[in-house]
Amino acid sequence: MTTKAYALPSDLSPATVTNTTSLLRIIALAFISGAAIASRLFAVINFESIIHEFDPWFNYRATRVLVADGFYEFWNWFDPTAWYPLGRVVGGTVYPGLMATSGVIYKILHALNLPVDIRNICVLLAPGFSSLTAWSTYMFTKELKDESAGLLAAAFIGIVPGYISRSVAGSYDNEAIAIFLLMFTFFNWIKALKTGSAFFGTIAALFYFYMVAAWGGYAFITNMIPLHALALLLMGRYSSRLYVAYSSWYAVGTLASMQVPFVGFQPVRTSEHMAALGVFGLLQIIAFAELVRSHVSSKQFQTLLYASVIGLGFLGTLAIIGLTYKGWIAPWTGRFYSLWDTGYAKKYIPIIASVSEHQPTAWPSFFMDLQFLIFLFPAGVVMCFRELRDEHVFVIIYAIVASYFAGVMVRLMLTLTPVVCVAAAIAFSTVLDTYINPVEPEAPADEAASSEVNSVASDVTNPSTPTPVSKKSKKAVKDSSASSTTGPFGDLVASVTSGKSGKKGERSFGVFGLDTRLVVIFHAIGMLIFFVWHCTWVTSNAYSSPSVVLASSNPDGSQHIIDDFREAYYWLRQNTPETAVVMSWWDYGYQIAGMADRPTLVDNNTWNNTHIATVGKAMSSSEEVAYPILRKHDVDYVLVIFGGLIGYSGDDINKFLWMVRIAQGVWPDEIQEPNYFTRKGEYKIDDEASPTMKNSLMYKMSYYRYAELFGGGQALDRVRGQQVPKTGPTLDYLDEAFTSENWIVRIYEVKKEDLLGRDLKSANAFAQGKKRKRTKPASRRKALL
Amino acid sequence: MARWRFNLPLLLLAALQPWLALAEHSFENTAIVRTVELGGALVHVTTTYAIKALEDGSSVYTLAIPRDEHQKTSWLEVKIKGQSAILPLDLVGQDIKTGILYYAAELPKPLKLNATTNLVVETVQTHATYPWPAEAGQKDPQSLKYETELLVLSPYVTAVQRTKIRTPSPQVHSFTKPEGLEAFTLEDPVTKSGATLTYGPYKNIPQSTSEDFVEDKQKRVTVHYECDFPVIEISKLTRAAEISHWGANLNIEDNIVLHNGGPKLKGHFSRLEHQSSAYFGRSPPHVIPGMTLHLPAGIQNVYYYDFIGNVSTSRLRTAPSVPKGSPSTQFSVLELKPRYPVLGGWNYSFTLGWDSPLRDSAGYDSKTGKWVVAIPVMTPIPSAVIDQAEVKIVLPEGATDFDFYPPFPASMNEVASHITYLDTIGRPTITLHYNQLTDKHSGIIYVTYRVPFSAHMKKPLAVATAFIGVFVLALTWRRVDTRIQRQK
Amino acid sequence: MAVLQIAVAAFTNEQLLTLTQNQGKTKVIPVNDQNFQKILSGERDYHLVLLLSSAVPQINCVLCNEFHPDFNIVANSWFQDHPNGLSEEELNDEDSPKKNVYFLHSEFAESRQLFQLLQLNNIPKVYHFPPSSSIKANDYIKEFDEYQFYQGVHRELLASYLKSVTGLQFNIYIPPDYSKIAINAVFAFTFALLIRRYRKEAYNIATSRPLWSSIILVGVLLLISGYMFVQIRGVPYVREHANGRVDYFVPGQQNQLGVETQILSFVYVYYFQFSD
Repeated sequence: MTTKAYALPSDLSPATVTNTTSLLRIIALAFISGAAIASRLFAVINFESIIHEFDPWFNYRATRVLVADGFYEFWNWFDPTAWYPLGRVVGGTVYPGLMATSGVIYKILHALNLPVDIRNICVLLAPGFSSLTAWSTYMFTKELKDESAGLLAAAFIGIVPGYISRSVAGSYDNEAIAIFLLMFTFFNWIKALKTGSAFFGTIAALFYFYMVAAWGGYAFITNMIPLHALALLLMGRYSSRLYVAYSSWYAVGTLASMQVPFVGFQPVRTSEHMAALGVFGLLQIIAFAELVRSHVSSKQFQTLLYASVIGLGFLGTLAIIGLTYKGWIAPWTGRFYSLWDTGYAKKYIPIIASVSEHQPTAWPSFFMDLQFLIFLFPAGVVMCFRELRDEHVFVIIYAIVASYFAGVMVRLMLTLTPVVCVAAAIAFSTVLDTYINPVEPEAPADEAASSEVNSVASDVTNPSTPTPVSKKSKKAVKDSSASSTTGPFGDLVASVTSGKSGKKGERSFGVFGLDTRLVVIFHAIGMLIFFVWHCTWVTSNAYSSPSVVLASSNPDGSQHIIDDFREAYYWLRQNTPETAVVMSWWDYGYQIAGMADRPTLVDNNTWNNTHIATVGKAMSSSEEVAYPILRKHDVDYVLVIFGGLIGYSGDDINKFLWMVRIAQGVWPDEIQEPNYFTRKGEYKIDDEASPTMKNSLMYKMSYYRYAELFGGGQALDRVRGQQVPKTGPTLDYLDEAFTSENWIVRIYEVKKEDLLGRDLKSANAFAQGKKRKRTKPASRRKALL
Repeated sequence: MARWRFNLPLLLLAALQPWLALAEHSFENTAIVRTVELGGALVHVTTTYAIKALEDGSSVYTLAIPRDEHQKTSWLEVKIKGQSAILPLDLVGQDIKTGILYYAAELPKPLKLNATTNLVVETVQTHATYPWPAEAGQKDPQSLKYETELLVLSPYVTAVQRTKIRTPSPQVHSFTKPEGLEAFTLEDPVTKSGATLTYGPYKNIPQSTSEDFVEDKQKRVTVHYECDFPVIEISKLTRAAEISHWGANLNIEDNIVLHNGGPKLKGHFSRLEHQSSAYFGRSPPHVIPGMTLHLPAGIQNVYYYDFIGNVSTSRLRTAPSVPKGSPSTQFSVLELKPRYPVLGGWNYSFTLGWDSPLRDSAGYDSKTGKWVVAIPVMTPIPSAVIDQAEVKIVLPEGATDFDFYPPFPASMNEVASHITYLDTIGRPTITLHYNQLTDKHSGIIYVTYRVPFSAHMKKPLAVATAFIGVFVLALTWRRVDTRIQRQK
Repeated sequence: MAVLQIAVAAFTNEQLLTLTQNQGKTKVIPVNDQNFQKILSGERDYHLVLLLSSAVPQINCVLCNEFHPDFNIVANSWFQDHPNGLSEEELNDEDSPKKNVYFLHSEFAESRQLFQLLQLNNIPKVYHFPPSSSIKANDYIKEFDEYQFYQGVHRELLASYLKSVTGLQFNIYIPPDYSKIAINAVFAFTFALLIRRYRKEAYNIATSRPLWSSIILVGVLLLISGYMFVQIRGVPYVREHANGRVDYFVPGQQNQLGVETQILSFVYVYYFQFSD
């Protein structure tokens, strides 16, 4: 009989224990989803219920169309105002999952006489789904270890910044619902694999379809599950369960996913999906082989197997190569390819490279997004090796693949976060189990066994305070099985997960005393507290600002809202004709369409490089060159973002080089990046700036009459920290139409051709000349000469 | 009754003539003084008739208003000088030839022979002025033009009459000097002193509503003056007032489309010049930088947003709630600023709403068992005209035999049903439509209705049943075994 | 007189051609302080394309290393097309007589004089020296034009640039790297052999959990501590200052150094040892 570290109450019936546990579990989950939602509301509290950033504005606009005109209208919605004059077939070029989701919610609420504004539904969709994500993570982790780990995982993913960064209230983007779908699909896949039930396989397939309809990142699932299946095959773990699960998932899932217009026939045509197809075929072969084996003698079977496998494999590869060669199977798409050849995007697709979230990830951002989970993560992964059940293999693969992707692209941190939470939860709960387990083994050797016995015993004889015991007992069972299966693996486990076996083995039994336990548990709790603190801090400071509204603080410390974007957009909306075409850099396309409701040349769905390059060219070439371009695209207004006055660094002058590069990609002999640098090769906007730079439309529009604001004083650009030339640029082909309060947004009207047929430059000069006889600010006169 | 009724059938000339014939002997105007207060969107005209009865017991005085003036006029009321009582006023008819409309004002008591009294006719004209020049640069001043008939017409003989035109600033660019008035006056027909133009006095004018008089004697005068405050026009005002007994709350929400009726902006808006002129404290008169609105006292959570979200550029000073009945002298002052300064010809639409405690504006009449709620027609916006107004009053769910008493008749009103949060049968709503409202029209609509207790209970019952339904479903789901085959 | 002659007499077309032919695998003539006067100055009836770069690690010129192979490829392709210079009809083509092109490369370490002479403050640079008749020394400093480095595939950009300045057609042949193929083949073969030979051990290794878990562990650790960042951005291992001070960490959430990856991995290992 082993000693106990502390006494447990012994007068509880197992029924009570189980009931209380489940009750506590439900309450815990409720609290977790509460926390998950609440921590995402900083954005609403600090600012207002508003759609964030750029892409969400399009999703919001599309959703409005969906709820206003109904699904079929939305399905074949051709938007003539985007990509003017080309227009955009929205229905066929979006992942409708997000809009459909909020559309359905909207309809339901209104059917219940809850006339909630569609904007609020869109704003609060992401937080709502984050609680679902927490729940599905709980289910997933439960399959891997147990409820306690599941709860931990749910808590982690509920508040971890890596996920919050894409799901705060108002960031109404595909990722908002995608992560839930990801986790739930994986959960169903695991479930299907364990039980070998076609039912769960089909559910997985359905959610896979939902995922396909919702997010381009579905390719991750499309490759993760086959990879897992393949790994299992290689480990010689083929089973009818695997066969049923995979076949049902793949068959249903693929057919369903082809119903999404934007996806269409890709699942059978593009390389991203070939892995799934290949594994499917392989499974059929193996299943067939198994069937044959059960009928013929093993000797013939050997030869038969070798022959068929080799032959079929050979044929298969040949077929795929041939098809690719014939062009039936498209090669990797650019974005996808840039994941493998990391230099690819930089060389060939400047548009992709220009997006900041496509940059590789440095470790500080890993740490900022995951905090202490990041070093529990490897531990958890290694623990999966203890009892290497199929689902653990899945987690391991997921871990390695996702961490590679996260390393390559910042935005893919999102796919890494769930597995980090799961693995960390496994590790953490193991620690807790180990140290809360009241059983004191005599020796490290048979500790496991004994703990098993006793904990099981303790469960029936003297169950303790509900949660710890019921958890603990299960844990104990696991641990025992684990350390018994540890066999060839013991040393590593010892060195890595040395929590109980190795380290404490050599030391005295005192280590099992309450003191050590308390130390470790307090340490653990401390980490948790710090984690919560960190998450709250990061969320409120880093991830909760809707980049449409900027916040600064008054001298008295109160919050001051800088609302220039909406000021200018609303001006456009109210005081320009419905059909006025607005040209701006593509970042602002969606916002203009959403807030100003005016046609735009280019927007954030960057499907037409040439069109974007055209805008880039217009921006980066001189007025005379740009004017014909503007007129040909009948542009009425040109909108630029200029942060020089209040030091808003994300402005167009800082993005300017990308415009130049993209334009240069299409017109290498007209636009050349080096011309925009000074002699010394610096990027400057002051007197030293190169003539090409100074004559470029972008420069002129940004600094037009800016120096005059300082009334002869030194005009300073607060972003570049450089002196702006005293004699500012002059505009002949454009007219300043509107400038927002802090000069962030500047809108220019494109002049129509001169009535007398003169070119506008001379016309302007003439007008100026007449004016000059009257009083005129000196600067303008000088500038003219 | 302030506004005339359109529903009276217009008598034609034939019917009109004898009536006028007998009318003209009953009075004579000893003096008529018309004072025109020029402004931006609104022009206030006060005409004082000093009348003398020519017959015993003559009690109906006839006013004559030319057609074009009548079109501009949105408010017309007649009082006895020094009395607050408004005299009943009826549209008698229109003379097809001259286009003059005739109104009959009922004197409180018939006048004896040669008895005199003073009638004060107050009218407000909307859109009576127009910017001239029609376009102005950002820094230019704002000049308006106003046209009117020189002589006040009357079916009676007038001994003497004069017209005073007051301009908001002494800057008068030009004004008409009428000729050919030798019949009525010998000295200078018009004199200007400061911001006041005086036409007249014009002596012994005959009965002036006859066709030939209107054609030869009547003159038009035009005043071109400078206006140093913006011409604010509200193209459309949609007010929704929602009464909630559960929240003991009256929610009022205005959708306002603001338009600057001043001269259109010539060229383009330059933030630089705007900021510098603001810096030197002389922002041009035709820019609407904002408006100061007087909202009721004791209002809570005021919200001000437009189509794309909150507008954070405004200040509010709320006054504490005042008990019903007591004369509320204090207001909550809202300094409302649009997202951008509204220059000449620009538009800006926004939504402004607030909650106010129901007890401040509602009372329960225990005799009739009815609620009485007072809802202002609009928030007065100084010197602004509201072209179209729509006031929608949402009564609590289940309100029965309701009735409403507007301060002046609406051009149209309808009753519908409106369904909102957790409603089961929807709420009765009363919608009133108005045109051309001015600061004179800031009246109060009284709504009375009856709400049975059962109506109050509808909502909680509905919610409760819904939740119970959910729980029952969950219970059954847990209990019922949905597996196809039992596993042993 | 004679001295002057010798001083500035450039190579003739034939001499350069032979010189080129005598080069090894890459048909690029190395230029250094000994021979640059001889090659560059004086009159020539041919084009010279000079790449000035440096592979010295201290300079750490990323673009040089990125660009140099492409330069060689262009040079070799040109030589492959014209092993014996231009053909007769090309040389005396009446409407536009063509001139042969020779490719030169100058490594900073070996030709500091030249770099000083050209007053270079940033490399790499590609200069094109057109045929000239000036016989004075150092005239070439004035009479070259410069190639602009753009985003994109260097060899194609360079080829198009040369086409524009020389009026000649430049094809590009990327040589298949036989050695690599061979090596791979050998490796694969031996590997297969070894597998067959030690099937049992191989099986044990392939199925040993410690091995796999440690591989995974190391992989994950590297990846989550910014290894890919270092790879893609090619950030230096540590940053050394002029005064000899060495930075092991750099500020900024989106920036790090090579060494940080290793430090962090160890920290993480230590931590979860401890946390567990």
